[in-house]
Amino acid sequence: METRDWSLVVFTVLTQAAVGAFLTLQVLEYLAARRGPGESGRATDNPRDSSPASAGAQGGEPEAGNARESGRAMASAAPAGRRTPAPLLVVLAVLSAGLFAALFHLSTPLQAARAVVNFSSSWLSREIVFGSLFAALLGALVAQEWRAASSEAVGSVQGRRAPTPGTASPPEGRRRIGPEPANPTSQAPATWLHRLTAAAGLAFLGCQTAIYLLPAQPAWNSFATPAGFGGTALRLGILGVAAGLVVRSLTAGVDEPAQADPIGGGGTSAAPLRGLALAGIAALALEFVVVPLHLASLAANPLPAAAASVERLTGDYGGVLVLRLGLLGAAAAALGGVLAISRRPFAPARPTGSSAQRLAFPLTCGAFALTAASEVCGRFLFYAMQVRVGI
Amino acid sequence: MSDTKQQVAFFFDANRCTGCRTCEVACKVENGVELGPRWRKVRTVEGDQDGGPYMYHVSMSCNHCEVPVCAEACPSGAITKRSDGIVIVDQSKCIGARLCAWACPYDAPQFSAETGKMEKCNFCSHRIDAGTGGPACAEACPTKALQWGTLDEVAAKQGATAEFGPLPDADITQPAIRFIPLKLVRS
Repeated sequence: METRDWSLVVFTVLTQAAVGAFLTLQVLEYLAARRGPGESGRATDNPRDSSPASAGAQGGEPEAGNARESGRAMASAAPAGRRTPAPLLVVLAVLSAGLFAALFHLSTPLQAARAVVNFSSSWLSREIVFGSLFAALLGALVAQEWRAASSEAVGSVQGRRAPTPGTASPPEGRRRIGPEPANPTSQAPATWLHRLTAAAGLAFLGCQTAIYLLPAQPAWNSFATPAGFGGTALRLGILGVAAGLVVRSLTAGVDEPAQADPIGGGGTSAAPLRGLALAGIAALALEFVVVPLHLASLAANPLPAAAASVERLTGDYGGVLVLRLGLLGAAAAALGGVLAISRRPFAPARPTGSSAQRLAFPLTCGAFALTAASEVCGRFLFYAMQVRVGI
Repeated sequence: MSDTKQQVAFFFDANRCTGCRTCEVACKVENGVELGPRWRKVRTVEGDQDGGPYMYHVSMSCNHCEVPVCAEACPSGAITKRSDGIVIVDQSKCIGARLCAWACPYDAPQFSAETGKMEKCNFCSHRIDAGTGGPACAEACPTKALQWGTLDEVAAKQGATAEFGPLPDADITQPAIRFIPLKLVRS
């Protein structure tokens, strides 16, 4: 692999992680919205909250309500209902870093704008167009979230200044853990902008994959390329969101103890993290199916170039392949630990977090770091196994 | 060649090539190709068939394919196909993405470290346009193993085939070249 191809390793891994994380957030948002406000049932000790959501909460179904709240917390990046553009901003930063890295693959980066000229036939042109569109739409969503968060903050301050007649203040030392009073604009689960952004992200991923489906490159011209690129997006997207969620739960815990556990939404459940861990394990397992099938299909290919690719993967770079799979296995084990500690509802959060919550941090973030390292190894192998047909 | 609107093509007879590389040198000199990129390459193929070893040479450059996958892959539109079938690179438009090199099954597009651009055989289009001759490589070949003409002309030569043992499936790009494969003679 040429040195300059490392820029493509960085580019593809980061941008696929960004697409995966955005889609994961949207799926969580969708799942949260499906439960509906009527099922929003996480226990709240805020008697001020007379919204239908909290009304439903009083009636039970804490698990469903908790999942809804945590889902929205992740999707909007806010623990316990407060909106913030932070997660989408992180996704945008990762995407931008990836797009920037791609420039270093060009001999003349100053002419990079020309890369979109051949949109009619070049998958790379299409990739750049859809990648830029994805980034622009993501930027618009960040701006939208920012405005929504600002207006919520203003509304929250005004609400505190003028409590609703007939309601009491929250007990000393406890803050509200239920959702903020409904804001139809900010809580819209999926606007046309979200859908458009998701479509642009998928188109970007599709074009990125199609670039490598070249008949001249048997190792790339395979099911393993879409499976590998899509798998990277899934793995890093799911685990990135899970890690962000856990990190946020700890950072939010100091001054807002009741909100410190968005995993369980104030210490009642660990269902969302558990769901992400399960999905993450499935996405990690995908690679253990793809790699052997890819090697088998290359071995069965009569082209000498295919055999040469197998030789590279199992010979020269066999150690990297073992390392990649080993890292994925370790990540899966860490996620197994997350499943184990989230089997039962987390204990009510303390200012420093519950013990399960504290354990969730190294396990989830460790799984993400191991997977990220593995994806870099995998993408290195992707470029290193390239052997052209012919002589 | 009278009708320049017909697809131009190379013709290669593996039985005549001695591997002298005169074609490579002629190409370098005619086009001023710097050290590193090789617009034309002579490769040696060795093997064993029916208990007897064989060896022959193959002189290859850009085949100015009827389906130029390099041009399709190029994001900046730097590679185009002329009306006479010659596939050329406009270096002022090349951004050095090197996607053409990945897409080409013949390793024709070459990266120039000197210019940071891709370059490749242009079928000596300057000579054809000026009416002063054909590709320097073919005209310099001492054994006439390498020739040129229109695709119809070279395809009409006796024994000419589009498929050639060590080369990729011709269906991928439909290269404008025809071959006379090596005729193995048993002693």
